[in-house]
This record gives sequence, C-alpha cells and structure tokens, in this order.
Amino acid sequence: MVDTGFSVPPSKLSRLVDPPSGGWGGPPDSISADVAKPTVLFSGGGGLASTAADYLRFCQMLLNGGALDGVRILEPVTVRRMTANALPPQVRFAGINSGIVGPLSGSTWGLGFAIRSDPKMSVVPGSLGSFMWMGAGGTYFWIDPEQQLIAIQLVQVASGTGASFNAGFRNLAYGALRIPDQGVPVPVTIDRTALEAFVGTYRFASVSSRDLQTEFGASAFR
Amino acid sequence: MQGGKLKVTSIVPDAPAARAGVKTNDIISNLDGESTREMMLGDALAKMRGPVGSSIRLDVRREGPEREIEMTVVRAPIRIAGTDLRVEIKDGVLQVEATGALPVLDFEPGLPIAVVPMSDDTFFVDAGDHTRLAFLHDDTGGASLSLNPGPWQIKGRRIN
Repeated sequence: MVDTGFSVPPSKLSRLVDPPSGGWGGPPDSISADVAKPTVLFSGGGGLASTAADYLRFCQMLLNGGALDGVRILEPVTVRRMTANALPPQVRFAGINSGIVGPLSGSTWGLGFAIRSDPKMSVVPGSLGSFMWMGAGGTYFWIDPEQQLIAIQLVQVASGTGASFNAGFRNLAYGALRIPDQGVPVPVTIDRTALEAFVGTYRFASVSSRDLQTEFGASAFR
Repeated sequence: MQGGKLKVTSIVPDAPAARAGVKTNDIISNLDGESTREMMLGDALAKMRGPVGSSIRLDVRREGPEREIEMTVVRAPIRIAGTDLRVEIKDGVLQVEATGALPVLDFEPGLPIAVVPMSDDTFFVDAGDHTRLAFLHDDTGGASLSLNPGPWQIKGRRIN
C-alpha cells in the first residue's frame, strides 16, 4: 500500500479529492482533520486517505485470512475474530438507513467490522458472514467471503448522506451476478385469455439471486 | 435509543407504523402501556414484533400542539421495495418491465420485454440471460412471481 496514510504528502496533493463544500464540522482532531497537513493522531476510527488500488490490497489481505503475496499481516484467528459476531445473541441492531456509519438491521459487530448475520432482518443483499464498514463521507466497502467478492466505493459526499449510494452500489453489484446457465427452454403455446391472470405489479424486496430471501422482513413490526 | 428514549429515526413508507401515523423523530414512550424508558432496544423490538394481524398500542410524544398521541399499529410483513415488476398484456403477449429504483435480472426500467410461455404458468425471456418466471396463486387470492425458480430464485409478491 503505497498511497495510504493519515496525511497526504505535498507531491500527491493533486490526486486528493476534496470533500463537498459546506464542511464536515467536528473538532479538529476528528475524522474531519485536514489530511493535507501532517498529523500526530493516528485514529482507529477515521481520517485515513487511500486509493482504490491500495484499499483493494488491504481487503484482499483480509479475504485471504490475513496474508497477501506471501506476507502475513494478521493471524488467521485475528481475522476470524474481526469478522465473527462478538456480541450476545440478544443484541440486535435496528434501522435501515441510519445515515451514519455502523451496522444496520440484520447485521452485528465483530471485533473489526459489521457483519451480515441475519438474512431475515437484513436490508442489503450478500452472503451470511459478509463484512463491511463505511465512512462518514460516503466511502464504503464490503467483503463477501462466500462469493469471494470485494467491493469498494470511494466517493466523497456530504457527511451522513452516503447511505443511498451504499445501498444502490450493493444492490447493483449483487444484481449483476449471473446465475449458472439454465439453458434455453422450449416455447409452448398457451391460451391467450389465460394471460389475464398474471397481470399486475409484483414487488421484489431484493434484486439478488444470492439472497435466498423470499422477502425482506426488515425491522420491527413483523 | 437516545438518552434513554425510544426514538423513531426513519419510517418505512407504507409499512404498518407509517399507516398508523408514526413519524420520524417521534418518541415512543409506551408500548402496550409499558414504559420504554431505559428499555433495551432489543427488548423494545421484541415487544413490537408479533403475529401478523395482531396489534400494539403506542404512546407517542411529538413536538407540536398535540404532544401525546396514542396510536394502534396493526402488525404486517414489511417489505422494503427493491424493485417492482409490472406485468401487462401488450399485443396479445405478456410483457414485463421493472418500474422500481433498480433493475432485476433481464428487466430494466424503461425497457419492457415480452416473455415467452414455457408452460401454463411459466415464461422466459428469449434474450439476455433467459430469465425464467413462474407465477403462483395462493389460497388467499394473493399471487407471487418467482424469477429463476429454484436455488437462485428471487421472489416477489403482487401488490395490486
């Protein structure tokens, strides 16, 4: 990872994407810190500048269970703890569009990430055990070990407005996964008056073939 | 939970709470007469869930002239709209178009596709990924549509 750090050196400033005008607010040592200046705060919660290529390597290391290109960064047990539920089963998250970072309905916390843990309550497609995190400025990534999928979204939008981008990106990514070839059926002729029975509007809670969900049972009143 | 209060952060459109009149930023002070003060969110959610058709009483506090409001929410399955498929008859054949925010399989908004029968109640798209459609009517008069029925199916329910 050659382009990742808590500050961006002057030689790379021309590649830095500005956050939207209007500012992010917050105290100077928060995630809104100016990454164009050197910092002494290496926050565990935010403030990193990176690139898609670099972050892909980071994610690939996690997907590999802690190693990349023959170099071990994390022990497998560490990655497992980061990506497995660390909370008692009675703790649940609600909300489908929080506008802030963190787990949503149907997911839980590991020691490193938010994990998709309950497909019946989940509002996003993906395999059980997929893990993710997002940033206040619209950055978002998830890793789906079952599908061997890494997705990274690097956008900069006003703080707290990234949720719709996240949901759109995730749905479109899973919606684009093809299913195994089913072959081409043989057409038949049916009575055209029978077609009337099928007319209507059908609502699909998910656009993903990878969900195996009959419907999203989001949230509370169910 | 915010400051020990159960606060509504967002509303699912057309879902039971929305139909009962619950609004964003409402504080739910009582659930079936039980105070939610210092209640764990998980416990509150467990209390709100229940059999379809049963109801729960909410006492809601809201800014404004009518500060204390009592509402009754009738429980029902909640579906978050991923997308809708509109099925019509055009020129004597069945035609399908996505009308929601997202495309699904071979169906995209603004691009209606005719589907070809492969049995009395199953059809397929004679192009693209050859998405299959299976219509099913249930005993209660409802209808559903499975796309690519089987292990990869995506299931939708008729809403009109």
